[in-house]
Amino acid sequence: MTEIREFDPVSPYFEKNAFKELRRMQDSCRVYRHKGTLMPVVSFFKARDIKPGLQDWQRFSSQRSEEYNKKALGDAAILIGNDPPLHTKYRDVVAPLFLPGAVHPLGPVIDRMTDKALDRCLDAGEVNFVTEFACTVSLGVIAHICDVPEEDHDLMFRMTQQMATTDGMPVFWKEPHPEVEARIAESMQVLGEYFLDHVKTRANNGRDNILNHIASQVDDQRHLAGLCALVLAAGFETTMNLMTHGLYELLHHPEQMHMLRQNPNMINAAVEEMLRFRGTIRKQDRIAAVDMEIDDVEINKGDSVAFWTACVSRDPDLIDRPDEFDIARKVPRHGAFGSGIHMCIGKVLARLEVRAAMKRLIEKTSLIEEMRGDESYQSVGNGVLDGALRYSVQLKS
Amino acid sequence: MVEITFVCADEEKVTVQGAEGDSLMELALENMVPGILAECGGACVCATCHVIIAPEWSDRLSPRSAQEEAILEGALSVTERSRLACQISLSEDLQGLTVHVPEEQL
Repeated sequence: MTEIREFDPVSPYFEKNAFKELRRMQDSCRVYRHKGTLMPVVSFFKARDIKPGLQDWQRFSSQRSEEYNKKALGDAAILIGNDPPLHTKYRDVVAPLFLPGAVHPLGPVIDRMTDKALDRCLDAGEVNFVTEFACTVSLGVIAHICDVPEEDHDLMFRMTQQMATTDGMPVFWKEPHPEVEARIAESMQVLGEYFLDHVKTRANNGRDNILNHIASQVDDQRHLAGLCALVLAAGFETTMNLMTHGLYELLHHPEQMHMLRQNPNMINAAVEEMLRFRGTIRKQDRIAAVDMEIDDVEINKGDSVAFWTACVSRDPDLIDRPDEFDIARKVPRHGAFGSGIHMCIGKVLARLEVRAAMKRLIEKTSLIEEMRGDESYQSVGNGVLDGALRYSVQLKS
Repeated sequence: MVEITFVCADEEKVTVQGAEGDSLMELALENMVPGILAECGGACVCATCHVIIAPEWSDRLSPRSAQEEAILEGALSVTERSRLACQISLSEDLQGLTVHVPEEQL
């Protein structure tokens, strides 16, 4: 068997060539054992392994250790970093708050935030689309339903970004990163204190907000702080990046942008294609709960397992012309929201928000163009979580 | 084997057979029935395997669980005969069952 060239998802090369690298690995093997990592870790690349794996929480556990949480998300790993029964307990608290019946009435809020973002960006010369448009909408909406006032948005942005910029990377680290652990500890400390105070002061104010719904059902204060931070961070980080990368792909595929401008009602299909092509979360972590051997690769109980959901979205066994961005696809199939019991709770809100905001963006502009030439886009430097730091564009009415 | 007919949104009928104990969702996925996405794979958390049971069969299925009720709130075009295919287990009692696939799942 030919030796597979090293696959290193925390390398600068991967960050610049993620889909090329994932394609190489998808074509090379089913499972790959990473070399030189602090934690033993294997990666899976094929939809036929990943989907069943994500659905089998008894073999592929989500139960993270305290030690691991220090490196990734801290206490905000509650729920996503747990197995049943704790996972079920908290999922039953949070999931009803994001079912369509709860989320669809938010349409006017999304429109209001989108108009606010457009006011900032339209005919304003060069703007950073990430912060001025995408964040204004996505953070604005989740902050609204959490009753976080506008003066605190900047704090929310900074603290959650501090946790998210390295998310997904620690399993592949080859050396310790105490500076990351310190940043995550600081973020969690600040957010934890903020949210515990937040729910306490709002307990009797008569205004409805989802964090107080959660607080009324969760006694453990550490878990409560973690759930609040998770809802806030997951509620905007992923949609903010999806809008940014969705626009990026439309601008880099002008024929697709033209098609959408001619038919704005294609927005639902277009957003599914953005999720497929540039879903923010490219990989989900699990832990092997039993020893197993797959294609001569031994996986031991306790090994970290990386399921590359971005590969599900581009698996040629599942998707015709997987590396083409085509908003006219008829059958939406992708791994952007994961699968199984940990499937994204916020997917209804995410779809509603991105569809509404991007449709309005298209309808209210006659032209969107990149600025600064080849320097228009800058990522956060994490190829595992597809995060944008800056996207310099101008929007013309 | 249990024979099931899926009537797709374009009225095309897909008649397939599955083993007792399998779920209706698994049967749909195995046979690539158009319109059944089943994103969560049967964890009853996504409502993308929504089907509408033919009227003559509607009172012959086990009732919805509280979890299924809650998740169905998330489906589009829900009717009194709506079910999640992942929550229906094939049995001899369901021989000849017909279900309709809605136009949209998302």
